[in-house]
Amino acid sequence: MSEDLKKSVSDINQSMYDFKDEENEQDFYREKAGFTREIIENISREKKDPDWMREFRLKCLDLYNKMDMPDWGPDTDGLDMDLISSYVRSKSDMKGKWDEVPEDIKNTFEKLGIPQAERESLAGVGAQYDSELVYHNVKDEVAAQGVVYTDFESAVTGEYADMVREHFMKLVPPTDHKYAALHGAVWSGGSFVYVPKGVKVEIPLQSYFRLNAAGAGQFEHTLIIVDEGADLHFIEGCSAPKYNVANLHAGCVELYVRKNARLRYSTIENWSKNMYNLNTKRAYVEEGGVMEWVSGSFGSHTSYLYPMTILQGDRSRMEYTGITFAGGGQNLDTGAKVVHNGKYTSSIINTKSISKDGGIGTYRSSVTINASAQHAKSSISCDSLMLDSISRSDTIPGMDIRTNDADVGHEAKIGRISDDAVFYLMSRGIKEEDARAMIVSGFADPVSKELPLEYAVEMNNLIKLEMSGNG
Amino acid sequence: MNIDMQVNKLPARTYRWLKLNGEKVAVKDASFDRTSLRVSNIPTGVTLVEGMSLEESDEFFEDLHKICESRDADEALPNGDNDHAGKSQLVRTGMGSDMDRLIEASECGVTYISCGEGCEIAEPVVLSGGGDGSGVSSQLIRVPKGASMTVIMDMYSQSEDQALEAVSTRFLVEKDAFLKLVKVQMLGRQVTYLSDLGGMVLDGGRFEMVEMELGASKSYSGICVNLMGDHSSSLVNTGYMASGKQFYDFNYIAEQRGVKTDSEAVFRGVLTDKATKNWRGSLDFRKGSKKSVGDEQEDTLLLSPEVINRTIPLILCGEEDVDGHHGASIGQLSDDMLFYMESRGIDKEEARKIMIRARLDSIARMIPEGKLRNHVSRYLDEAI
Repeated sequence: MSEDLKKSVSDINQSMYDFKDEENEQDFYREKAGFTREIIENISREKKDPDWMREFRLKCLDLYNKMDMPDWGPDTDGLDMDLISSYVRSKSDMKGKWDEVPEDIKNTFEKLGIPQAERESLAGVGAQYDSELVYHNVKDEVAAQGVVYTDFESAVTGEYADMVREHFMKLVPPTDHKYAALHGAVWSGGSFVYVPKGVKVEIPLQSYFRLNAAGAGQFEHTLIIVDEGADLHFIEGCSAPKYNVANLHAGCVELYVRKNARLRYSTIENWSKNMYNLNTKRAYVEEGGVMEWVSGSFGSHTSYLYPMTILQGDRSRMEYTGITFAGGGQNLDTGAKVVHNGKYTSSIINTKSISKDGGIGTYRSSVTINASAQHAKSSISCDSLMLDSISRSDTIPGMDIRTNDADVGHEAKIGRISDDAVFYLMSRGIKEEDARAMIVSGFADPVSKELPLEYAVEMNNLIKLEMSGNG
Repeated sequence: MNIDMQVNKLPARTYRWLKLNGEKVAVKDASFDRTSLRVSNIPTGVTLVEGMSLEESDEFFEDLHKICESRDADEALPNGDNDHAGKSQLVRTGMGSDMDRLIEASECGVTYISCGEGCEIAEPVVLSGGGDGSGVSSQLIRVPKGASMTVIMDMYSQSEDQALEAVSTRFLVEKDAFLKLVKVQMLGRQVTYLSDLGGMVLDGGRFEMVEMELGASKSYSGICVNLMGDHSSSLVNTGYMASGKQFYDFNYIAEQRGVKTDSEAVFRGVLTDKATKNWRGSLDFRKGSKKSVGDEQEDTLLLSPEVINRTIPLILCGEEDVDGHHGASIGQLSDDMLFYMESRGIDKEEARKIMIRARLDSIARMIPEGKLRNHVSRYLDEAI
């Protein structure tokens, strides 16, 4: 196979995401860079936080200042926290109609196809621009079922304030790690979703996060409670234009799946390659509940991303399906964590990783089966594909089993595109580059088939563009 | 002697709370009364030098040091890489540099074992160890070009006293040479056992190892096989059984650097009562190891609700044209198998014993020396 062909593989085509909008002082408020008590108090005042939230933020700041950086994972030396602005917002309020959203911001989301997606295939949309939501809407028929889908600030002070306070940062406590503490101090934006008992939301809700400001951080908080027997598919999308300075994303997602409920949480992450994506996601699943994660990681300079599921209730289960595509200059450390506490719980982790053009893709996971989780089952499969010899691909899966009644199977493979497979396809009249693209698409197929159709098509197009060298 | 050691470090660190990045060993007020391993059989054709100083032994690795110094240049390292690889230890071992500090501080002599070029030594070299008090020993095994040799290390004691056994072994398998190393540990239940191993295999060379871990209170075993040469290969088979409150900590690393290298490892064992086992297994494909293959398989049988089994199988890959594979199966005896046995008139307890025995025998039968094989068999009879 020609070396030239391998070298022709280029970065992911970011053109549809990499456009910038000027943000001027007249239309945007920007907090100064760094993380100080004064800044946190300013944010709290801006947001009209209740007292408990203001105190919580300040405690989190203290924790953040005391906690160590992790001594594992990708290098974050390029992230200078003194240069990150924690809060940037449009001076316009959040709107419930696209027509009322400021023109420049609306154009951004039009280019990303969000209003069109809302019209065609979504039950509700939240659109965050920098630190605040600029648009939020849920279809009337979904709202009529009692489904609550609102921006997080409204939830903290509104009708659901008690429910929010009861759950906010309980699943991901600020003591969890340094960036969880930071998130607690400066969180802004995000969504609150409550699906009442027995309600099945037939079409997905989506939140889209756009970080437009250079040198800024985005710290949105997502809290979803799917009550007993309810069903929800939530989609999260993220993008940003590329700047020469580091941006930071340290969001937090807390998901509660009640008895016999089901939640599918799909993420297509396509941050620009100056982004440090240090995001924390965690789900708590009660008896008979089902948590499904579908995760595509394509963007970011550096990622630490390991959605965690706590299978607390008996017979609860989780499935994680993920793909990571690490190109030149990217160091994407992704995977999943699961803790089995309930009896007869089960987990399936299935990941694919592709590294190319000097990119570093690391699959990192943990499976913990505690003594209470008798008859638990876990199956882990991680496959990695290396497209050249200047890239890296590592798998680091940890397992901690504390009962004899568990059944754990683990498979990991690392390899390249098989010459035999390329030869076979070429012998059937398929060009070499098409054959390689077909093989990579086939490798990613178990993940793309779990994505909503529009995202699966987009992912396959990206792979084709990459492999043809036209990306 | 007092030394705080950090041993069996994972080649790339991960979540701290998993407690798999390495183990701390505090050696307090240790005094070594004897050499841990003593030569009990030297076949004709084998060269043996005992009591060599550490400085003298270093000379054997001078050429290797030169090769090692040029490695790692411009090579991307895995996320969370530990600095011990290639820096503080030019010839990397499984337990790491803190074990070197212990050996140095003990001032024990080095036993050097070798043979002539092209010699095929049919009879095994046997080193026996264990006994009252604490022991330490350091071995250097060199198998020259085209030669083949088998070395058995048999650690056995019935002592019920607290003691420390520390054994450090480095090996060099030269071009087209073959080394088979057999390590059997059946020490008393109050002994802390430190077993460190590291070495290199050059072009066309092959290293095979059979390891049985059955005794001791705490056992730390580190193995690092560096497949430096093209077409070099290794096969490591480890069997273990931990019961009571035994604590076993394993670190296996296959560092594949040559072209068309081949590493294979099988770890098979049984945990019962309140035993704990940590197993770290790493296939480390370095840049340039084109067309290399690596495989590690772990099969753990859990027989008590109070056991703790931690496993972390790493595949680290800096080369495109390789094929790395890991498989693990962790769980209890299958109901189907027990039912099958019971339907043939074998009661549940007997079926359980048969299944445990079958697992361990699959490794133990690879021990080439009949007397030791029988000893292991008797030990297993009693233990099971």
